[in-house]
Amino acid sequence: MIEVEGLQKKFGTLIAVDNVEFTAQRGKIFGLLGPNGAGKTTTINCISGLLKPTAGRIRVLQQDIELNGQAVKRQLGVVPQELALYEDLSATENLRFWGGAYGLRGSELKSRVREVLSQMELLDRAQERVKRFSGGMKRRLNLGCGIIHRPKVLLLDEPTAGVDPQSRVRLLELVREEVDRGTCVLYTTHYMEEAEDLCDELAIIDHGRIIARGTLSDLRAMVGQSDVLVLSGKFDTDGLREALARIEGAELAGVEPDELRLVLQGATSKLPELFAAVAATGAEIREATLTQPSLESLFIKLTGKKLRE
Amino acid sequence: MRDVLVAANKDIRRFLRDPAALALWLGIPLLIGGLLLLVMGGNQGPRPRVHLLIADEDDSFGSRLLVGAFGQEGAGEIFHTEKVDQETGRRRLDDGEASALLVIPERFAEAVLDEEPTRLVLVTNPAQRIMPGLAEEMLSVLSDGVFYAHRLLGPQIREIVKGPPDGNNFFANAQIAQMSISMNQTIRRLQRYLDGPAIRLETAAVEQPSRPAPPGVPFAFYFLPGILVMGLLFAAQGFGDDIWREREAGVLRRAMTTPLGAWRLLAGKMLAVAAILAAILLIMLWAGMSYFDLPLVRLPLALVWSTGIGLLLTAMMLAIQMFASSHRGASVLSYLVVFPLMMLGGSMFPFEIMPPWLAAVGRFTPNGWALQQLKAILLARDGPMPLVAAVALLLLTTAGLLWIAGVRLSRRFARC
Repeated sequence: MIEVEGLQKKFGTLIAVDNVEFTAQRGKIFGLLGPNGAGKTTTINCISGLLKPTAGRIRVLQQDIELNGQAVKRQLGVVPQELALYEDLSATENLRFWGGAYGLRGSELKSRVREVLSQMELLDRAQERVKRFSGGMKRRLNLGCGIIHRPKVLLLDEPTAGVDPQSRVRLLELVREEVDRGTCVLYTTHYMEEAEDLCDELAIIDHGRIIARGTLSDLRAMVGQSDVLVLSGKFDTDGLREALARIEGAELAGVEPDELRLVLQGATSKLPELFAAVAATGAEIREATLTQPSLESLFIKLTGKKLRE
Repeated sequence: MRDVLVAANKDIRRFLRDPAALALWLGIPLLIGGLLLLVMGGNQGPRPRVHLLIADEDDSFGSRLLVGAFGQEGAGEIFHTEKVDQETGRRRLDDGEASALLVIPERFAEAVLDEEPTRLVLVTNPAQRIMPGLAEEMLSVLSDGVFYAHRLLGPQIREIVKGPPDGNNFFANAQIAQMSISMNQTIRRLQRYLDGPAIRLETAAVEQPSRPAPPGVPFAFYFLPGILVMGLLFAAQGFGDDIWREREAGVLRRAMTTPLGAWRLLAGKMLAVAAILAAILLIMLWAGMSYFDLPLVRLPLALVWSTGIGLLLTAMMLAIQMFASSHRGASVLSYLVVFPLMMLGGSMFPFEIMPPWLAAVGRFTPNGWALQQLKAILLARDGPMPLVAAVALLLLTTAGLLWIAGVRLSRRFARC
């Protein structure tokens, strides 16, 4: 398991990660959900030993990463966001190298290479140079290199970034297979659907801070029955605040000259009243989108912006 | 150690996947060296000569003197003369068989002696540029010579050309003596103007007493160690560049999250470099030593030393390139280091043909120093003690540079 307490990482004056705390359990997937630049990768880099935290403590399998780095690394599998592969080597050679780097040798290495190639559905392309692979195949191999040594803890940093939907489905299946084996998985993503679909427990991170944490149902409860209404058009930001303050159950989450985000309790009954109030401020509404309670709506509620901004 | 072997195995496979790069690293120096050798006279073939056709229509004592001047010592090495009649000469020149045709007209000598105008005709081959130019220059010099000889010794020459008086076949002894004395006096009178203070140029090759040039070693040999070290410089630059490619692929960062870590990764890379270089150097050294008839018993030591130089230069290039802020910056930086080292360090031009002060500077460059030792090994010039000291220095320097590279790699380079 992974225990992170009061983690902070500064780069000069920039605080990339601030007081991050969570615990990821064996056989479960803990998701770190947040937009690009929120601090997800920095957190993973601190856990994997790539970066030294400015403050805080990280324990992996009851061992301090700073004190027992080598021992921890043997039990840790890391799948970075970039395709960290030797493109001039074949899939087999890549797996052999990374397996060797994690300490596998001889027949054990050989059998694991074959198993992983089969698991990643790359057996028929095993001897081919990676540079000839498609994006999805490279992503699968990238994952394979991280699990070749059967790690007890697996860190996945946006492993589905930039892949087609079919490959994404296969990758998520592979992650579930690892979890079923009892692996503790820390999974970062900015795809809300992925997090909802895959993770047992989640932390939403923004600007280096965790702004919400819990199981999916815990987080949904935080949103309550609130719907999120997003209006596009032209808005008078000052007049809107005053007009909306008079409507019970409508909460202004974020407002910009061309977009307005509102959290609504009992949306359908409030819509006519709300549109009238907004129109009365002289606003022009071009588009309206109403979304059901979700992690996205929670993120908007907490930060006033969309997850992918 | 097994981790190091894992890393080395990976790099050997990768280097072998790019044989074009290996061929370039070592092929370019061979090409440059070969060209330099040719430019500097390594070609042992015959010198080109000016083929001069001469149509001597005068066929007198004076015209024969002019023709004979082209065959004198010095000029004879440059000119190959052939007597022809004018018609044949022009035809052969049109066929491109000669560089020029000199036509000496009838009564040439007589006209010269009688101070009458006369004309020598030089027809040149337009398909050639340098050779006809040489013939033109030579003829111009000879024309001046004829003019001054006539001015100074005109009466005596006229008498010789006229022949013995009173229908005799031979000059009388008294007449010969009189002409000789007269010519001698003229020359003596002019001597103080013609002969300036004597400046005699003496040249002596200064050899370092402890390192005499071995007999029988051709000049071209001095390019061999230079070419080898030049190849090693290029190879080292390529190996140094490889660390940037690994970084850009993200594999260095990933490797840092494994138990392998930066130091074992670096050690594996050096082991792979050593293996690749040793294999290539073995072939190159064997070929070079066989060509110059050097005893192959020196091959193992030369191989070990050359591989050591390769590791030293690779460690240097790794350390240098990892301090650059970008891949492109690293490339520029490495070229800024490689080319001056190549020029100064005896790789491009052997120390033997460099100005002494420049050679002295060059011997202190890493490649220059290594190259001298290689030369000493190949020629079996030094005893074991200097070699032991050199090996110790090589090991220490390489270790120092690797330490710098390793610290840079583990603390910053691989983590970014």
